[in-house]
Amino acid sequence: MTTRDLVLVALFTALVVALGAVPGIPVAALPVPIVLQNLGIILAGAVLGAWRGAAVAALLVVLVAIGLPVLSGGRGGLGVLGGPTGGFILGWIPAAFVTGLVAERIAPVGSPLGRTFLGVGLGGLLGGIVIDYAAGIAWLLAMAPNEAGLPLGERLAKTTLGMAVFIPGDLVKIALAGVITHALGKAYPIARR
Amino acid sequence: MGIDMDMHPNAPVLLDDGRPAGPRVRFDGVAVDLGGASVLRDIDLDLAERRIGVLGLNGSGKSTLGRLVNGLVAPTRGRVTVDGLDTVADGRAVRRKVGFVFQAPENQIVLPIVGEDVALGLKTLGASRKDAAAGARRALERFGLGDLVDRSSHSLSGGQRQLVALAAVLVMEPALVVFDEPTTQLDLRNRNAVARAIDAMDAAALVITHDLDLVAGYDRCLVLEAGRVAFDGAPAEAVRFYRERAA
Amino acid sequence: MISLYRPGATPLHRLPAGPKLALLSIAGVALTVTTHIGLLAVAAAAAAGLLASARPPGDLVRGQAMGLLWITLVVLGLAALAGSWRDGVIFVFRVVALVSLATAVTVTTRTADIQDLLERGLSRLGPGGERLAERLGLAIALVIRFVPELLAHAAALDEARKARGLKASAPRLLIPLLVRTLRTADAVAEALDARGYPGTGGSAVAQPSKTSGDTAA
Repeated sequence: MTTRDLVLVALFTALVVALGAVPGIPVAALPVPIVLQNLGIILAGAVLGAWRGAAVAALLVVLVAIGLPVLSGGRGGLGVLGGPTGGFILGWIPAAFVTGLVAERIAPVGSPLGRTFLGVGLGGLLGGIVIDYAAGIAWLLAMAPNEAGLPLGERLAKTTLGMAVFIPGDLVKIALAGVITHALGKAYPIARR
Repeated sequence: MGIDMDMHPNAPVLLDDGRPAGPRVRFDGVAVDLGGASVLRDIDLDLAERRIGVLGLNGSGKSTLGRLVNGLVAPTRGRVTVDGLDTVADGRAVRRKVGFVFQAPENQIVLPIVGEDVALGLKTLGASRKDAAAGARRALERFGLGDLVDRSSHSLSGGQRQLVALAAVLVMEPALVVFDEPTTQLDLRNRNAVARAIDAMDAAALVITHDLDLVAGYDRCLVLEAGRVAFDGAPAEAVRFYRERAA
Repeated sequence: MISLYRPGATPLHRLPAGPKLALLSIAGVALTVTTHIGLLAVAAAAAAGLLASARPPGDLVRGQAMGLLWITLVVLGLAALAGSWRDGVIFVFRVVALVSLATAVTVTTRTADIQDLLERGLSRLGPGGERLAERLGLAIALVIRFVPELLAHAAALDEARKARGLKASAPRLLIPLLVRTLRTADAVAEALDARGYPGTGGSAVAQPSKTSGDTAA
């Protein structure tokens, strides 16, 4: 890891923190404004690549753990990590990694828009939705009691259904990440790592 | 065959009163290409004056020349040495001798608290946490910035930032400081404060600037044009040359 | 950035960070395996009392609660579908206890103390861990240093957008903000190199044989 890698990871993390503090942005297709913070996580993987992207998410988790209000809405501290939604936050680490991995395989920096959109899109779907939701829901189910003795498959399906309200927003963010990554590749290209 | 000290390429250059001048910076057939474009060509220089100015239009290669001196940029061809140390092979040793003050001080002050940032350089030189903090406080006090030691770096004004950035470099006691347009972003009062701070330094200075008044009393002044040294001499003539070329 | 730590003199404030985190971990496991409603009710009340005694900022408690609202509704819905009111009650008590305890630890422990603990832990892993600890320290400091700069830049971008009468959009904000972030990172890395910061050496050196690859890409 060079000094530059370290600084890139830290500054990108600062950006993700800053995105938690800016107001949500309205999107035509959605009833509520979108919060930009987890778009920042997808972008960390898409722009910096798998390893540095995962390092951004990990550094963010450390900042939460040491008690800084770095998450959207000024949240932070061990209560967020230890609470029932902690899995979604911890899941950002593999989510950024997988996003970066898929993006760099399919669409190297400088690829045309369609290809970048495809690479970041698939990476974002796999990392930001499949992996992050799997981590989040697994964590939640570990914490939620099951005195009623429901079978795991049913709990899984119903919880996923409950969390599905966030998926349209996430899909919009993944599409935005594709467009933004492509624009950035032209404005300020950097190699993924 | 006796060695003529004056001819030895790494011999220190002495002032009239016998004190050594600045460290000896030599450029031997230096060229720099960045991203396929030629930025500097045919640079042969032997610099040892205490105050050296560098003028030139935007894109003339001034900043790259400055960055060569402490190894932030490596020559594509030729070599640059500081007191005989190669800026690439002996990069770390060269950076101990040569400090660098950037045009945008907000990116140079990297730690959240002013005192911590000034102490960072001392810590990289191996000072303990306590010694570094004490050294940082002294360095800030020398500039009359003692009351900033516990301030947040973000809260500083533009002029304070440039002076803090300079203090953070001088605390490491470099023999030479390269300034990359140190007054470009400043109002007149802060510009004067920075000019005075440069004049007061014990260290030698290589000052890249568009501020023609800044170089007036300097010992030597270069003018760069399209990646070459187009003029090398006294500041008054250098400024006259530069004005004619820029007209 | 203002830490969530609130100064005070409660017993929780006096307990060192290490034991406090160890106790929190044990409590976390205990609360997660317990299904006894009475015990959980007592734990939730005690934890909430502990948190209240530490005087947390009101915004933090509200933000934390809002962040848990939806997930709680989902779990309660699941319990209702299963016809098990017990599941819902256990979950609520458990979450109140767990989140209150963890938040109480955050509110009563200095950020620097948890960071020290983390860095000391890493340093014990040998020279590699020491280097990692030192870099983590620098990375945390850089984040704290540059969040306000990026927020100020985001505000300036928003002002420029309004001056041009354009609607707010994510790319309009994020592309220039990302360019600023990457450009600042390059300048900061160069400044650290110039001050002799011991990285792996010469990261900013752009030379054909040792190119960083990024500028050429």
